[in-house]
Amino acid sequence: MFEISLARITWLHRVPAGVKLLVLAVAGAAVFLVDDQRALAGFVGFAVLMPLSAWLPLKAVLKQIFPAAILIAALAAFHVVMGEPETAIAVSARLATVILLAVTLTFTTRVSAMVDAIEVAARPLKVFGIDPAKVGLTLSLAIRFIPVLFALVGEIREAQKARGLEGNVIAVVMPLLVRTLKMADDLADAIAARGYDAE
Amino acid sequence: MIEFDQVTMRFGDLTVLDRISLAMPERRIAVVGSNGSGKSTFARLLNGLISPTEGAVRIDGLDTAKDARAIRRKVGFVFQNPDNQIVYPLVEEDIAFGLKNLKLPKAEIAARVDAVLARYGMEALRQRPAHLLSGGQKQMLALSSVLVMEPDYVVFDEPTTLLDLRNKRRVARAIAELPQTAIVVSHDLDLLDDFERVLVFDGGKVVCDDVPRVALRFYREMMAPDV
Repeated sequence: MFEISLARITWLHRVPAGVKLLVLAVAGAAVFLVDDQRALAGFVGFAVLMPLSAWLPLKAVLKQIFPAAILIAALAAFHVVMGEPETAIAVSARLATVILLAVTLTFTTRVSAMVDAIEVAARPLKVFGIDPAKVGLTLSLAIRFIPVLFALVGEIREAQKARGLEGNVIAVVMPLLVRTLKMADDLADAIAARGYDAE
Repeated sequence: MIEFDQVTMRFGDLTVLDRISLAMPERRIAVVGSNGSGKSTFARLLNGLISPTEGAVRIDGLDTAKDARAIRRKVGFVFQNPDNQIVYPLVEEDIAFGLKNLKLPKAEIAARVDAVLARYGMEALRQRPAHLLSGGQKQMLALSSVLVMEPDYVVFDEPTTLLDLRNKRRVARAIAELPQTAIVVSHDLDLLDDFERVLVFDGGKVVCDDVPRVALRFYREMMAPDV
């Protein structure tokens, strides 16, 4: 996750993060507003063209989109079984567009650049008392800690399995909660120690 | 110089440090003690992460409770578990985090990140996601992220606890080579042989304060008197 591809620096790597985020937001919203199948095909074509034009490593992209592809296939199959093939096509096209564009964004953009862009975009929120820097920090922490939490869940599940508690949800959730809160506490100390000023 | 002036630290009814007074001009200071003896609290007081209930902690004359911002520029802190202190997903982004907080120009941030990556032979890892690093690499990243801010003092809270022997040696060498004053809280006594001064904590008090040969023998006897 969030492994930037630098095997070949392409035009898409050089596009500012803010522009790419804007394109993702606009295309992601627009694809849900159209029903015409030719327009939907156009969106999918655009979304496929992006990673290809950025020379992204195909294997890594497929690995990223594989779980979403299964979900899309399941949704499409459901609509086909329900006798709604057109809806199946529309749903698949919409989700495929958004996922491919999002994956392309993460493969061609540094997280720090995305965070900087979001901080700029969040500046108008200052009037509502929302600090853009905090929005950016929250986002980067969320991205950073997704794999850490996955690893933590794996570690706890393994420990509980060793104690014969596999399948016991409480035995996983409780230690996960305690360790996540402790981690959050330590992280707050670490951020303060590195000169972050919440004010 | 680090000064503790009649420092008491309480958490509710629990007294964790009890009237500690010390002056520490040395460049290599170690802190040992049993679990719950107050040594981690002692370390956190140095960086202003917590303020004493009574008394004062001063670093080069600055009061850690009153001059928190200046103290955090002066005193870096490396925590036990690097996973809990890495903020950004990529190595070079995380190293730059503290410098961005100082609002330094981009060119200076880039130059300082390059320099610290080169210093610890981590150039090849600069684009690597932090979660894919080994334990030793993560601890070196945590150390780099602190050192890039060029503090005068670096506090280490059990920096080698989670590491294998090779990475322990790597971190030990990095600490030994630091030009800064290092204060190391550790259970890894081999790490502390070359230090100038060792404080032994027990029950919130400094029960021995001497050179490593004397203080570490005292600590070993205190912890296992029958062995």
